[in-house]
Amino acid sequence: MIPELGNFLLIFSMINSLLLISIAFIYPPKNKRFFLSASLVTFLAIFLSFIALEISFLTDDFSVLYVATNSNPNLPIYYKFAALWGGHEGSLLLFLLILAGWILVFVFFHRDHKYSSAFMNIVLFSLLAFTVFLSNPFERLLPISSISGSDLNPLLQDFAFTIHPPMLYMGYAGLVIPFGIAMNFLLNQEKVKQLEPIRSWSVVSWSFLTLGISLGSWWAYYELGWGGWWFWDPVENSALVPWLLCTALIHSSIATNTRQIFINWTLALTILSLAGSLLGMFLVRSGIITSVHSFALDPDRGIFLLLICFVIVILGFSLFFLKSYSRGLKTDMGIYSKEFMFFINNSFLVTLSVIVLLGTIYPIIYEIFSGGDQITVGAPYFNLVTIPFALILLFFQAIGPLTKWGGNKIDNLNSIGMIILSSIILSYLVSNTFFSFSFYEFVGNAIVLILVQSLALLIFKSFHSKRKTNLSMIAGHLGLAILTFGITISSLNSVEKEFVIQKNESVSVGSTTITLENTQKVQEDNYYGDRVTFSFQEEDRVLKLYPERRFYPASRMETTEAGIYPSIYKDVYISLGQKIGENAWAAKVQIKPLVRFIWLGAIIMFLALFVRTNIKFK
Amino acid sequence: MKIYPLLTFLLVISIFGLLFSQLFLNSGIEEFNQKKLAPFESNLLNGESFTSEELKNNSLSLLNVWATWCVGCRLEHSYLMELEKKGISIIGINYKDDKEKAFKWLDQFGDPYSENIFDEQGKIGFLLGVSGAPETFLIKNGDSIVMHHMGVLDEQVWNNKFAPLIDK
Repeated sequence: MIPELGNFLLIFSMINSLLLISIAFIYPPKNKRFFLSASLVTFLAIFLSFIALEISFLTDDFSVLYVATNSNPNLPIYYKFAALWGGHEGSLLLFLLILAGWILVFVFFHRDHKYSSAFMNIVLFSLLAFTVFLSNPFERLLPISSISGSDLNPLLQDFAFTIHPPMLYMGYAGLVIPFGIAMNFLLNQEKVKQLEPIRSWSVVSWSFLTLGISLGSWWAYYELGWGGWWFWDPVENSALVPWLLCTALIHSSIATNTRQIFINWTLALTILSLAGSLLGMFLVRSGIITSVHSFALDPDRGIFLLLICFVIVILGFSLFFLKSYSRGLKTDMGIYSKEFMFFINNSFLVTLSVIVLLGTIYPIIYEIFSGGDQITVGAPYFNLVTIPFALILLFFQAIGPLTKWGGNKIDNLNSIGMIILSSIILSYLVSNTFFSFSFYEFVGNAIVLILVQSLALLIFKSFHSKRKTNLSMIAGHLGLAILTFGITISSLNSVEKEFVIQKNESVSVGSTTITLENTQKVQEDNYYGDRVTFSFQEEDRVLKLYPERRFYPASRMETTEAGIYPSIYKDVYISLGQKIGENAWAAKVQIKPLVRFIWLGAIIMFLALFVRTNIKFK
Repeated sequence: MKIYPLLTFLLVISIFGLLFSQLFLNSGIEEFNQKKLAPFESNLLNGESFTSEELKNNSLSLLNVWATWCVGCRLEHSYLMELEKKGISIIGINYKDDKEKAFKWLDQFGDPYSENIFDEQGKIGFLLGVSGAPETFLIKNGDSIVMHHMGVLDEQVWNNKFAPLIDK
């Protein structure tokens, strides 16, 4: 009964959403509260439908196909709750819930936007239709059999997993809002002021995308047992592309808000970032690309999703070219001006995202033109082509905050020059003394130093002026500096070694000596396996690590649990390979200096969302 | 100035065109001629032994990976029974399962398999590249994997993916 009710509510919200669109365009209502009440009804219907599915999960109603394939009676209640978004249909419902929520919040704050919510509802409606007709989570498994449910994938029985998708979806869905605002502006051709909310909405989306992506990266680091934090996996890439475009959108809309420039950039970027987010959804959910994340699905769904994405991109660009390109505003850009910095920012970020997207879909293109041969594009390509671009971009973002709007004002040039010079010298010294010198290390550290000094100078100056200071911006950029530092040091100074080791044997990796102490069997409620104890000397303490190999009988999966010794300065990371003979194990040890800085930086970038933007120190 | 809209639309259409065409290609026939089947030895559910050499007696053999814990397997079971009635021989691989439950399942729902390999630890599944159940393989001459379908096997999948290869 409850699943049918949920299904009914989902269909109801779809019809409601369609009504809102038709009324908005055919007979625009005079009463501004119309959109608010319509959005509220849609949201409530989806919310109740979400609750209905949760009830099915919590009561182990295995007559619902989706529950039967994604849950298990022995699962802890917390994971039962989160299992709702463990598969394709349920995660889509979560996405719809978040999207409807964002639309409601937007309409609440901006009731004067005539068409914005209608355009947002076009996206909502198409995805609702997709869910109802092609991915219905309420489908029954009939005739009802006494199946006890399969299981939530053991890799996903984890805290980071349970919050990773909701955070990411907050970001993805949030990108629909700037798109709606931009479309409304194009159709109405009213004041540029109507574009103002784009900035805060893109910042919100961006923050949640940052958090979602870094949670995923953290999860991969400790759960997959490979010791990497970024794999250039197609699904990671399809989250990175909207993130890059959204970064560009934030900056572009700042320029639009304060100087009324880059209007076309901003408008185009809203379309592109939404397209990136929908295309990402398509790549993950159509099964066109194989990856850790992909849901194996039938091609019908892929075609429908791709069609949605195509229609929205075409709609966006048609409006964009029909309505706005006559207004090509020429912007005066001196080479030391903030305008120029923002231009660099926009064009480089778009280029970077195109590079990443091309690398991701290149295997598909190759397969078509080579008549079925398959290749994969891996980390070497991405590192080779993205790192130089990223470094140049990072350099400009390091000096960018110090530049000023309007023309070539050179009064800051001295301080910028000093900062660059001192950073280069310092970075050279640091790279030479503490690490084995390499070009990328030197460049990476120099950029981090420039950025940190710029931000310090900005704060210092704001204590002496009456101007408002954007502390949120400073925090966000500081997070990026910490992240860049972590990436530079950990990628260039990690040591790793693979070996076969027996009881009481020792192996030295870098400056650390690791000993296998003993092996024991472990047996828990939901798994059994082997636990191996390793010990190593850290300064004057002896530390122990316990990597495991586990077998989960319910889902018949074998997993490896890495043994990780975390510290601010370095991580010692041991993952077990196969057991060889009676007492010997294949193992891999990695020592990763400053790897924690990567997630620390990302968390600071996210927290910057909550820092006040306008602060007067004086 | 008019060149930008044109370029944009051309780009958009070509990217989407490529993705669309790939989707349609994917739904058609796939061949993995280069994929070889690693030789294996195992027991059948009834206790007899089985080696992959036996597959070489037939030009084509159909392997179906199943388990009693797998919901999808229950879904495709009735279609497998239909195939069996049509005279198509299916070799089952009972994957990471319990012998007793497996027999009970076959008693209750019917046995579409000519033989059933008992892959208790998933070793054969590993050799085949199984990531879960149900999965269905078409093996040519006992040594190469011509088709690997992940997910439920139904009439549509059969007609699109398997029937054209068998007819050839």
